[in-house]
Amino acid sequence: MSRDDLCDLSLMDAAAAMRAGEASAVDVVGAALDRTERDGKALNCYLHVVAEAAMADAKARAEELADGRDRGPLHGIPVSLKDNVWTAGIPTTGGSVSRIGWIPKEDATLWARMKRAGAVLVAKAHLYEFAYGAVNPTFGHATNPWKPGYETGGSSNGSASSVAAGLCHASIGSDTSGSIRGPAAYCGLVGVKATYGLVSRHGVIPLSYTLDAAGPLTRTVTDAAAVLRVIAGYDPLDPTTSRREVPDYVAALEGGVRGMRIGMVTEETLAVCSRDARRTFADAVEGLRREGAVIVPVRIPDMMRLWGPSDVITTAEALEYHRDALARNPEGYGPAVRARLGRGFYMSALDYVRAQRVRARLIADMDAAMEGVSAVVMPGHPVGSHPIGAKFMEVDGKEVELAPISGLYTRMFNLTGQPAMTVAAGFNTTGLPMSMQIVARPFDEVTMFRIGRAHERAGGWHERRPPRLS
Amino acid sequence: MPREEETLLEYAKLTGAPVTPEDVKALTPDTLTLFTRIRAMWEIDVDGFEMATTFDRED
Repeated sequence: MSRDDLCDLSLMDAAAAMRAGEASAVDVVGAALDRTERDGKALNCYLHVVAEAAMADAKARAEELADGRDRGPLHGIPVSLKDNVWTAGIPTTGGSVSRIGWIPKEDATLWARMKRAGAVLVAKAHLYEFAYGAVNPTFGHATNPWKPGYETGGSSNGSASSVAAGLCHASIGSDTSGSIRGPAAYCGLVGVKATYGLVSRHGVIPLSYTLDAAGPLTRTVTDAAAVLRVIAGYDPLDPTTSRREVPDYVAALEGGVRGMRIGMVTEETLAVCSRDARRTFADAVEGLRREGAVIVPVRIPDMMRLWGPSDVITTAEALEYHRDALARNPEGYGPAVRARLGRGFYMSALDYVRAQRVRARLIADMDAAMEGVSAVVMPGHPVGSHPIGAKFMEVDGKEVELAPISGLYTRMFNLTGQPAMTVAAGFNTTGLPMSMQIVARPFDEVTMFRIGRAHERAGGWHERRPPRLS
Repeated sequence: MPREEETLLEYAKLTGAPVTPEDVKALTPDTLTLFTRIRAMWEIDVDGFEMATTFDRED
Protein backbone atom coordinates (compact mmCIF):
# COMPACT_ATOMS: atom_id res chain seq x y z
CA MET A 1 0.00 0.00 0.00
CA SER A 2 1.42 3.39 -1.02
CA ARG A 3 1.25 6.36 1.35
CA ASP A 4 -1.44 7.93 -0.87
CA ASP A 5 -3.53 4.73 -0.59
CA LEU A 6 -3.86 5.45 3.15
CA CYS A 7 -6.20 8.32 2.18
CA ASP A 8 -8.70 5.89 0.67
CA LEU A 9 -9.02 3.75 3.79
CA SER A 10 -12.04 4.14 6.01
CA LEU A 11 -11.41 5.78 9.37
CA MET A 12 -11.61 2.42 11.14
CA ASP A 13 -9.25 0.76 8.63
CA ALA A 14 -6.75 3.60 9.05
CA ALA A 15 -7.04 3.17 12.83
CA ALA A 16 -6.44 -0.57 12.43
CA ALA A 17 -3.41 0.05 10.19
CA MET A 18 -1.88 2.23 12.91
CA ARG A 19 -2.39 -0.44 15.55
CA ALA A 20 -1.00 -3.14 13.26
CA GLY A 21 2.16 -1.08 12.79
CA GLU A 22 1.51 -0.73 9.05
CA ALA A 23 1.37 3.07 9.28
CA SER A 24 1.79 5.75 11.92
CA ALA A 25 -0.33 8.81 12.60
CA VAL A 26 2.44 10.79 10.90
CA ASP A 27 1.99 8.67 7.74
CA VAL A 28 -1.81 8.94 7.77
CA VAL A 29 -1.94 12.67 8.48
CA GLY A 30 0.98 13.33 6.12
CA ALA A 31 -0.81 11.46 3.33
CA ALA A 32 -3.97 13.51 3.92
CA LEU A 33 -1.97 16.74 3.74
CA ASP A 34 -0.15 15.62 0.58
CA ARG A 35 -3.45 14.89 -1.09
CA THR A 36 -4.78 18.24 0.13
CA GLU A 37 -1.78 19.94 -1.45
CA ARG A 38 -2.48 18.07 -4.70
CA ASP A 39 -6.29 18.28 -4.98
CA GLY A 40 -7.45 20.84 -2.40
CA LYS A 41 -7.40 23.86 -4.71
CA ALA A 42 -9.34 22.09 -7.47
CA LEU A 43 -11.99 21.00 -5.00
CA ASN A 44 -12.05 24.36 -3.15
CA CYS A 45 -13.21 22.38 -0.11
CA TYR A 46 -11.07 24.07 2.54
CA LEU A 47 -10.96 27.64 3.83
CA HIS A 48 -7.94 27.14 6.13
CA VAL A 49 -5.43 24.31 6.11
CA VAL A 50 -3.45 23.92 9.34
CA ALA A 51 -0.68 21.70 8.01
CA GLU A 52 2.07 22.59 10.47
CA ALA A 53 -0.08 22.15 13.56
CA ALA A 54 -1.53 18.94 12.12
CA MET A 55 1.91 17.40 11.64
CA ALA A 56 2.95 18.37 15.17
CA ASP A 57 -0.23 16.78 16.55
CA ALA A 58 0.28 13.70 14.38
CA LYS A 59 3.80 13.24 15.77
CA ALA A 60 2.50 13.53 19.34
CA ARG A 61 -0.33 11.03 18.68
CA ALA A 62 2.10 8.60 17.02
CA GLU A 63 4.43 8.75 20.04
CA GLU A 64 1.50 8.15 22.40
CA LEU A 65 0.38 5.09 20.49
CA ALA A 66 3.94 3.77 20.40
CA ASP A 67 4.03 4.22 24.20
CA GLY A 68 0.79 2.27 24.58
CA ARG A 69 -1.50 5.21 25.21
CA ASP A 70 -4.50 4.54 22.96
CA ARG A 71 -7.25 7.16 22.93
CA GLY A 72 -9.62 5.07 20.76
CA PRO A 73 -10.54 4.89 17.07
CA LEU A 74 -10.08 8.60 16.37
CA HIS A 75 -6.49 8.54 17.67
CA GLY A 76 -4.24 10.07 14.99
CA ILE A 77 -7.04 10.36 12.42
CA PRO A 78 -7.01 13.45 10.16
CA VAL A 79 -10.36 15.29 10.18
CA SER A 80 -11.83 18.52 8.89
CA LEU A 81 -14.47 20.70 10.55
CA LYS A 82 -17.08 22.85 8.88
CA ASP A 83 -15.90 26.39 9.39
CA ASN A 84 -18.80 27.27 11.66
CA VAL A 85 -17.23 25.14 14.42
CA TRP A 86 -15.14 27.12 16.89
CA THR A 87 -11.48 26.16 17.03
CA ALA A 88 -9.37 27.94 19.64
CA GLY A 89 -6.58 29.94 18.02
CA ILE A 90 -7.68 29.05 14.47
CA PRO A 91 -9.82 31.40 12.31
CA THR A 92 -13.51 30.53 12.11
CA THR A 93 -15.36 32.46 9.44
CA GLY A 94 -18.75 30.78 9.20
CA GLY A 95 -18.17 31.16 5.48
CA SER A 96 -18.78 34.89 5.77
CA VAL A 97 -16.59 37.85 4.90
CA SER A 98 -18.08 39.52 8.00
CA ARG A 99 -16.12 37.08 10.22
CA ILE A 100 -12.77 37.13 8.44
CA GLY A 101 -10.06 37.58 11.04
CA TRP A 102 -12.17 36.30 13.95
CA ILE A 103 -10.32 33.75 16.04
CA PRO A 104 -12.26 31.91 18.76
CA LYS A 105 -10.73 31.70 22.24
CA GLU A 106 -12.21 28.28 22.91
CA ASP A 107 -13.09 25.09 21.09
CA ALA A 108 -16.62 23.99 20.37
CA THR A 109 -17.52 21.21 22.79
CA LEU A 110 -17.68 18.62 20.04
CA TRP A 111 -14.23 19.54 18.76
CA ALA A 112 -12.79 19.54 22.29
CA ARG A 113 -14.13 15.98 22.65
CA MET A 114 -12.70 14.86 19.30
CA LYS A 115 -9.36 16.38 20.18
CA ARG A 116 -9.34 14.54 23.51
CA ALA A 117 -10.11 11.37 21.56
CA GLY A 118 -6.94 11.96 19.51
CA ALA A 119 -8.38 13.37 16.25
CA VAL A 120 -6.02 15.61 14.27
CA LEU A 121 -7.48 18.72 12.64
CA VAL A 122 -6.12 19.25 9.14
CA ALA A 123 -8.44 21.98 7.88
CA LYS A 124 -11.55 24.09 8.32
CA ALA A 125 -13.98 23.23 5.58
CA HIS A 126 -15.94 25.39 3.17
CA LEU A 127 -19.66 25.98 3.77
CA TYR A 128 -22.60 28.05 2.66
CA GLU A 129 -22.40 31.44 4.32
CA PHE A 130 -23.54 30.88 7.92
CA ALA A 131 -24.91 27.55 6.63
CA TYR A 132 -27.80 29.49 5.11
CA GLY A 133 -28.46 28.40 1.54
CA ALA A 134 -25.81 30.18 -0.55
CA VAL A 135 -22.05 30.55 -0.72
CA ASN A 136 -20.44 33.91 -0.12
CA PRO A 137 -19.16 34.94 -3.57
CA THR A 138 -15.75 35.79 -2.07
CA PHE A 139 -15.11 32.14 -1.22
CA GLY A 140 -16.58 30.51 -4.35
CA HIS A 141 -18.04 27.01 -4.54
CA ALA A 142 -16.66 23.73 -3.25
CA THR A 143 -17.04 21.03 -5.86
CA ASN A 144 -18.19 17.42 -5.91
CA PRO A 145 -15.27 14.97 -6.27
CA TRP A 146 -17.47 12.61 -8.29
CA LYS A 147 -17.82 15.26 -10.97
CA PRO A 148 -15.98 18.57 -10.68
CA GLY A 149 -18.27 21.53 -11.32
CA TYR A 150 -21.18 19.68 -9.78
CA GLU A 151 -23.00 20.50 -6.54
CA THR A 152 -22.04 18.92 -3.26
CA GLY A 153 -25.64 19.16 -2.08
CA GLY A 154 -25.84 21.56 0.83
CA SER A 155 -24.15 23.83 3.28
CA SER A 156 -21.62 21.29 4.61
CA ASN A 157 -20.17 21.24 1.11
CA GLY A 158 -16.48 21.42 2.02
CA SER A 159 -16.91 18.72 4.66
CA ALA A 160 -18.47 16.32 2.14
CA SER A 161 -16.05 17.18 -0.63
CA SER A 162 -13.02 16.66 1.61
CA VAL A 163 -14.14 13.27 2.95
CA ALA A 164 -15.30 11.93 -0.43
CA ALA A 165 -12.01 12.96 -2.07
CA GLY A 166 -9.92 11.35 0.68
CA LEU A 167 -8.43 14.59 2.02
CA CYS A 168 -9.44 13.44 5.50
CA HIS A 169 -11.25 10.46 7.03
CA ALA A 170 -14.13 12.30 8.69
CA SER A 171 -15.61 15.73 8.97
CA ILE A 172 -18.17 17.52 11.10
CA GLY A 173 -21.04 19.31 9.43
CA SER A 174 -24.17 21.05 10.65
CA ASP A 175 -27.73 20.36 9.55
CA THR A 176 -30.75 22.66 9.91
CA SER A 177 -32.84 21.28 7.06
CA GLY A 178 -30.50 18.67 5.57
CA SER A 179 -27.05 20.22 5.31
CA ILE A 180 -25.23 17.10 6.51
CA ARG A 181 -27.50 14.57 4.78
CA GLY A 182 -27.79 16.43 1.45
CA PRO A 183 -24.03 16.64 0.88
CA ALA A 184 -23.69 13.01 2.00
CA ALA A 185 -26.34 12.06 -0.59
CA TYR A 186 -24.66 13.93 -3.44
CA CYS A 187 -21.15 12.78 -2.56
CA GLY A 188 -21.79 9.10 -1.78
CA LEU A 189 -21.11 9.37 1.95
CA VAL A 190 -22.67 8.62 5.30
CA GLY A 191 -24.15 11.73 6.96
CA VAL A 192 -25.71 11.70 10.43
CA LYS A 193 -28.14 14.14 11.96
CA ALA A 194 -28.58 12.70 15.42
CA THR A 195 -31.56 13.20 17.74
CA TYR A 196 -32.05 16.82 18.79
CA GLY A 197 -30.26 17.12 22.12
CA LEU A 198 -27.75 14.31 21.57
CA VAL A 199 -24.83 16.43 20.32
CA SER A 200 -23.81 19.73 21.89
CA ARG A 201 -24.01 22.78 19.67
CA HIS A 202 -21.94 24.93 22.04
CA GLY A 203 -19.39 26.62 19.81
CA VAL A 204 -21.17 25.86 16.55
CA ILE A 205 -22.28 29.17 15.02
CA PRO A 206 -26.07 28.91 15.16
CA LEU A 207 -28.46 29.16 12.26
CA SER A 208 -31.62 28.00 14.02
CA TYR A 209 -31.50 27.15 17.73
CA THR A 210 -34.41 24.72 17.64
CA LEU A 211 -33.52 22.95 14.38
CA ASP A 212 -29.70 22.85 14.23
CA ALA A 213 -27.75 19.63 14.64
CA ALA A 214 -24.03 18.95 14.31
CA GLY A 215 -22.80 15.55 13.21
CA PRO A 216 -20.36 13.43 11.22
CA LEU A 217 -19.79 12.89 7.52
CA THR A 218 -17.78 9.76 6.84
CA ARG A 219 -17.30 7.04 4.23
CA THR A 220 -18.80 4.21 6.27
CA VAL A 221 -21.51 3.68 8.87
CA THR A 222 -18.96 2.26 11.31
CA ASP A 223 -16.86 5.43 10.99
CA ALA A 224 -19.93 7.59 11.63
CA ALA A 225 -20.85 5.52 14.69
CA ALA A 226 -17.31 5.92 16.06
CA VAL A 227 -17.35 9.72 15.62
CA LEU A 228 -20.85 10.11 17.05
CA ARG A 229 -19.90 8.10 20.14
CA VAL A 230 -17.16 10.66 20.84
CA ILE A 231 -19.16 13.85 20.27
CA ALA A 232 -22.52 12.78 21.78
CA GLY A 233 -23.65 13.37 25.34
CA TYR A 234 -24.60 15.95 27.92
CA ASP A 235 -22.82 19.29 27.86
CA PRO A 236 -23.47 21.84 30.61
CA LEU A 237 -22.62 24.55 28.06
CA ASP A 238 -25.57 23.52 25.85
CA PRO A 239 -28.77 23.41 27.92
CA THR A 240 -30.59 21.47 25.18
CA THR A 241 -28.38 18.40 25.53
CA SER A 242 -29.77 15.23 27.03
CA ARG A 243 -28.39 13.56 30.15
CA ARG A 244 -29.02 10.08 28.72
CA GLU A 245 -26.09 7.72 28.67
CA VAL A 246 -24.51 7.42 25.21
CA PRO A 247 -24.53 3.81 23.96
CA ASP A 248 -21.52 2.14 22.35
CA TYR A 249 -22.79 2.52 18.79
CA VAL A 250 -19.90 0.62 17.22
CA ALA A 251 -20.37 -2.41 19.47
CA ALA A 252 -24.07 -2.56 18.50
CA LEU A 253 -23.52 -2.21 14.76
CA GLU A 254 -23.43 -5.82 13.70
CA GLY A 255 -26.71 -6.67 15.42
CA GLY A 256 -28.35 -7.03 12.02
CA VAL A 257 -31.94 -6.49 10.97
CA ARG A 258 -33.31 -10.04 10.94
CA GLY A 259 -36.97 -9.85 11.93
CA MET A 260 -36.83 -6.05 12.30
CA ARG A 261 -39.90 -4.27 10.91
CA ILE A 262 -38.78 -1.37 8.73
CA GLY A 263 -41.21 1.06 7.12
CA MET A 264 -40.78 1.95 3.47
CA VAL A 265 -42.40 5.22 2.38
CA THR A 266 -45.33 5.00 -0.02
CA GLU A 267 -45.91 6.37 -3.51
CA GLU A 268 -47.09 9.80 -2.22
CA THR A 269 -43.58 10.44 -0.91
CA LEU A 270 -41.81 8.93 -3.93
CA ALA A 271 -43.82 10.84 -6.54
CA VAL A 272 -41.13 13.49 -7.09
CA CYS A 273 -38.27 10.96 -7.46
CA SER A 274 -36.33 10.38 -10.65
CA ARG A 275 -36.35 6.87 -12.12
CA ASP A 276 -32.78 6.47 -10.86
CA ALA A 277 -33.81 7.40 -7.32
CA ARG A 278 -36.68 4.90 -7.43
CA ARG A 279 -34.48 2.16 -8.85
CA THR A 280 -31.62 2.59 -6.40
CA PHE A 281 -34.04 2.93 -3.46
CA ALA A 282 -35.88 -0.25 -4.50
CA ASP A 283 -32.52 -2.07 -4.72
CA ALA A 284 -31.55 -0.82 -1.25
CA VAL A 285 -34.86 -1.98 0.23
CA GLU A 286 -34.42 -5.36 -1.44
CA GLY A 287 -30.99 -5.58 0.17
CA LEU A 288 -32.49 -5.00 3.62
CA ARG A 289 -35.07 -7.68 2.87
CA ARG A 290 -32.25 -10.09 2.00
CA GLU A 291 -30.65 -9.24 5.33
CA GLY A 292 -33.85 -10.43 7.01
CA ALA A 293 -35.82 -7.20 7.56
CA VAL A 294 -39.59 -7.24 7.32
CA ILE A 295 -40.47 -4.33 5.02
CA VAL A 296 -43.89 -2.73 5.46
CA PRO A 297 -45.38 0.32 3.74
CA VAL A 298 -45.60 3.44 5.91
CA ARG A 299 -47.40 6.60 4.97
CA ILE A 300 -45.62 9.63 6.40
CA PRO A 301 -46.85 13.26 6.53
CA ASP A 302 -46.80 15.32 3.33
CA MET A 303 -43.29 16.76 3.16
CA MET A 304 -44.22 19.50 0.70
CA ARG A 305 -46.29 21.16 3.45
CA LEU A 306 -43.28 21.50 5.73
CA TRP A 307 -41.56 24.29 3.84
CA GLY A 308 -43.61 26.82 5.79
CA PRO A 309 -42.80 25.85 9.38
CA SER A 310 -39.19 25.04 8.53
CA ASP A 311 -38.60 28.32 6.71
CA VAL A 312 -40.41 30.43 9.32
CA ILE A 313 -38.54 28.93 12.27
CA THR A 314 -35.16 29.11 10.53
CA THR A 315 -35.64 32.66 9.25
CA ALA A 316 -36.90 34.01 12.58
CA GLU A 317 -34.18 32.36 14.66
CA ALA A 318 -31.41 33.22 12.15
CA LEU A 319 -32.45 36.86 11.89
CA GLU A 320 -32.64 37.24 15.66
CA TYR A 321 -29.03 35.97 15.88
CA HIS A 322 -27.69 38.09 12.99
CA ARG A 323 -29.83 41.23 13.39
CA ASP A 324 -27.27 43.45 15.09
CA ALA A 325 -24.30 42.35 12.98
CA LEU A 326 -26.35 42.73 9.82
CA ALA A 327 -27.31 46.28 10.80
CA ARG A 328 -23.69 47.18 11.64
CA ASN A 329 -22.10 45.58 8.57
CA PRO A 330 -24.60 44.69 5.84
CA GLU A 331 -21.84 44.56 3.20
CA GLY A 332 -20.11 41.85 5.22
CA TYR A 333 -22.88 39.47 4.20
CA GLY A 334 -23.29 38.09 0.69
CA PRO A 335 -26.35 39.38 -1.18
CA ALA A 336 -28.20 36.04 -1.11
CA VAL A 337 -27.86 35.54 2.63
CA ARG A 338 -28.64 39.21 3.32
CA ALA A 339 -31.86 38.85 1.33
CA ARG A 340 -32.78 35.60 3.06
CA LEU A 341 -32.27 37.11 6.49
CA GLY A 342 -34.14 40.27 5.46
CA ARG A 343 -37.28 38.27 4.81
CA GLY A 344 -37.58 37.79 8.54
CA PHE A 345 -38.45 41.46 9.03
CA TYR A 346 -41.75 40.82 7.25
CA MET A 347 -42.78 37.88 9.42
CA SER A 348 -44.78 38.19 12.59
CA ALA A 349 -44.49 36.53 15.99
CA LEU A 350 -47.82 34.92 15.12
CA ASP A 351 -46.16 33.09 12.24
CA TYR A 352 -43.42 31.77 14.50
CA VAL A 353 -45.86 30.49 17.12
CA ARG A 354 -48.01 28.91 14.45
CA ALA A 355 -44.97 27.20 12.96
CA GLN A 356 -44.15 25.68 16.35
CA ARG A 357 -47.75 24.44 16.70
CA VAL A 358 -47.55 22.85 13.26
CA ARG A 359 -44.32 21.27 14.43
CA ALA A 360 -46.04 19.80 17.49
CA ARG A 361 -48.65 18.26 15.20
CA LEU A 362 -45.97 16.91 12.88
CA ILE A 363 -44.18 15.23 15.80
CA ALA A 364 -47.43 13.50 16.80
CA ASP A 365 -48.23 12.53 13.20
CA MET A 366 -44.77 11.04 12.68
CA ASP A 367 -44.94 9.13 15.98
CA ALA A 368 -48.25 7.65 14.81
CA ALA A 369 -46.84 6.80 11.37
CA MET A 370 -43.98 4.88 12.99
CA GLU A 371 -46.15 2.78 15.23
CA GLY A 372 -45.25 -0.85 14.63
CA VAL A 373 -41.93 -0.20 12.86
CA SER A 374 -38.43 0.40 14.21
CA ALA A 375 -37.45 2.85 11.48
CA VAL A 376 -38.53 4.30 8.15
CA VAL A 377 -36.44 4.36 4.96
CA MET A 378 -36.74 6.63 1.92
CA PRO A 379 -34.48 7.95 -0.82
CA GLY A 380 -31.93 10.44 0.51
CA HIS A 381 -32.79 12.89 -2.27
CA PRO A 382 -35.19 12.76 -5.22
CA VAL A 383 -32.41 13.36 -7.80
CA GLY A 384 -28.62 13.13 -8.10
CA SER A 385 -26.15 16.00 -8.22
CA HIS A 386 -26.35 18.74 -10.89
CA PRO A 387 -24.09 21.51 -12.16
CA ILE A 388 -23.26 24.19 -9.60
CA GLY A 389 -25.67 27.11 -9.86
CA ALA A 390 -28.29 25.21 -11.88
CA LYS A 391 -31.87 26.17 -11.06
CA PHE A 392 -33.42 23.43 -13.21
CA MET A 393 -32.31 20.00 -14.34
CA GLU A 394 -33.63 17.51 -16.82
CA VAL A 395 -35.06 14.48 -15.06
CA ASP A 396 -36.44 11.62 -17.14
CA GLY A 397 -37.07 13.95 -20.08
CA LYS A 398 -38.76 16.68 -18.02
CA GLU A 399 -37.33 19.95 -16.75
CA VAL A 400 -37.53 20.00 -12.95
CA GLU A 401 -37.09 23.07 -10.73
CA LEU A 402 -34.52 22.25 -8.07
CA ALA A 403 -35.48 24.71 -5.30
CA PRO A 404 -38.78 23.03 -4.31
CA ILE A 405 -37.14 19.61 -3.95
CA SER A 406 -34.01 20.85 -2.18
CA GLY A 407 -34.10 19.43 1.35
CA LEU A 408 -37.53 17.96 0.68
CA TYR A 409 -36.72 14.61 2.30
CA THR A 410 -34.60 15.94 5.12
CA ARG A 411 -36.14 19.01 6.78
CA MET A 412 -38.99 17.01 8.31
CA PHE A 413 -36.61 15.31 10.73
CA ASN A 414 -35.11 18.57 11.93
CA LEU A 415 -38.67 19.54 12.81
CA THR A 416 -39.43 16.24 14.57
CA GLY A 417 -35.97 16.00 16.16
CA GLN A 418 -35.60 12.34 15.08
CA PRO A 419 -32.25 10.76 14.19
CA ALA A 420 -31.75 10.46 10.44
CA MET A 421 -28.81 9.15 8.44
CA THR A 422 -28.08 9.21 4.72
CA VAL A 423 -26.08 6.34 3.22
CA ALA A 424 -24.72 5.74 -0.28
CA ALA A 425 -27.04 3.55 -2.34
CA GLY A 426 -25.72 3.13 -5.86
CA PHE A 427 -25.36 5.44 -8.82
CA ASN A 428 -27.57 7.12 -11.37
CA THR A 429 -27.19 6.63 -15.11
CA THR A 430 -24.67 9.49 -15.29
CA GLY A 431 -22.46 7.83 -12.66
CA LEU A 432 -23.28 10.11 -9.74
CA PRO A 433 -24.07 8.80 -6.25
CA MET A 434 -27.62 8.10 -5.10
CA SER A 435 -28.65 7.53 -1.50
CA MET A 436 -31.08 6.21 1.08
CA GLN A 437 -32.16 7.92 4.30
CA ILE A 438 -32.82 5.92 7.46
CA VAL A 439 -34.98 7.54 10.15
CA ALA A 440 -35.37 6.07 13.62
CA ARG A 441 -37.18 6.96 16.84
CA PRO A 442 -35.70 9.68 19.07
CA PHE A 443 -32.47 8.54 20.76
CA ASP A 444 -32.53 5.21 18.90
CA GLU A 445 -29.36 5.82 16.89
CA VAL A 446 -28.43 2.19 17.58
CA THR A 447 -31.25 0.95 15.33
CA MET A 448 -30.41 3.55 12.68
CA PHE A 449 -26.78 2.40 12.60
CA ARG A 450 -27.70 -1.31 12.56
CA ILE A 451 -29.89 -0.76 9.51
CA GLY A 452 -27.19 1.31 7.85
CA ARG A 453 -24.59 -1.37 8.44
CA ALA A 454 -26.93 -4.11 7.12
CA HIS A 455 -27.47 -1.95 4.02
CA GLU A 456 -23.68 -1.71 3.56
CA ARG A 457 -23.31 -5.47 3.83
CA ALA A 458 -26.03 -5.95 1.22
CA GLY A 459 -24.90 -3.31 -1.29
CA GLY A 460 -21.22 -2.59 -0.72
CA TRP A 461 -21.56 0.96 -2.09
CA HIS A 462 -19.47 2.38 0.74
CA GLU A 463 -16.39 0.80 -0.80
CA ARG A 464 -16.57 2.90 -3.97
CA ARG A 465 -14.35 5.97 -4.25
CA PRO A 466 -14.55 8.86 -6.74
CA PRO A 467 -12.08 8.94 -9.64
CA ARG A 468 -8.78 10.60 -8.76
CA LEU A 469 -8.62 14.22 -9.78
CA SER A 470 -5.01 14.03 -10.91
CA MET B 1 -51.66 40.99 -10.18
CA PRO B 2 -49.21 38.05 -10.09
CA ARG B 3 -50.29 35.09 -7.99
CA GLU B 4 -47.52 35.58 -5.37
CA GLU B 5 -48.56 39.16 -4.75
CA GLU B 6 -52.15 38.12 -4.31
CA THR B 7 -50.95 35.44 -1.91
CA LEU B 8 -49.14 37.99 0.16
CA LEU B 9 -52.18 40.20 0.43
CA GLU B 10 -54.33 37.21 1.34
CA TYR B 11 -51.75 36.29 3.95
CA ALA B 12 -51.91 39.83 5.32
CA LYS B 13 -55.67 39.61 5.55
CA LEU B 14 -55.46 36.27 7.33
CA THR B 15 -52.86 37.24 9.90
CA GLY B 16 -53.49 40.96 10.21
CA ALA B 17 -49.92 41.72 9.05
CA PRO B 18 -49.61 45.38 8.02
CA VAL B 19 -48.82 44.69 4.36
CA THR B 20 -50.04 46.95 1.57
CA PRO B 21 -49.87 46.52 -2.23
CA GLU B 22 -47.05 49.08 -2.20
CA ASP B 23 -45.04 46.94 0.18
CA VAL B 24 -45.39 44.01 -2.17
CA LYS B 25 -43.64 45.83 -4.97
CA ALA B 26 -40.53 46.24 -2.82
CA LEU B 27 -40.24 42.56 -1.94
CA THR B 28 -37.89 40.04 -3.51
CA PRO B 29 -39.20 36.84 -5.16
CA ASP B 30 -37.63 34.95 -2.26
CA THR B 31 -39.77 36.88 0.22
CA LEU B 32 -42.89 36.27 -1.80
CA THR B 33 -42.10 32.56 -1.80
CA LEU B 34 -41.79 32.68 1.97
CA PHE B 35 -45.21 34.26 2.24
CA THR B 36 -46.69 31.61 -0.03
CA ARG B 37 -45.26 29.01 2.32
CA ILE B 38 -46.54 30.84 5.38
CA ARG B 39 -50.01 31.00 3.93
CA ALA B 40 -49.98 27.25 3.30
CA MET B 41 -48.78 26.72 6.86
CA TRP B 42 -51.76 28.59 8.26
CA GLU B 43 -54.04 26.15 6.48
CA ILE B 44 -52.72 23.16 8.46
CA ASP B 45 -55.12 22.13 11.22
CA VAL B 46 -53.40 22.41 14.60
CA ASP B 47 -56.48 22.04 16.74
CA GLY B 48 -55.47 20.24 19.93
CA PHE B 49 -51.76 20.97 19.59
CA GLU B 50 -49.89 23.43 21.78
CA MET B 51 -46.79 25.28 20.66
CA ALA B 52 -43.79 22.96 20.68
CA THR B 53 -41.35 24.34 23.23
CA THR B 54 -39.03 21.42 23.86
CA PHE B 55 -37.68 19.22 21.13
CA ASP B 56 -35.34 16.84 22.88
CA ARG B 57 -38.02 14.12 22.96
CA GLU B 58 -37.13 13.10 26.50
CA ASP B 59 -39.85 10.84 27.95
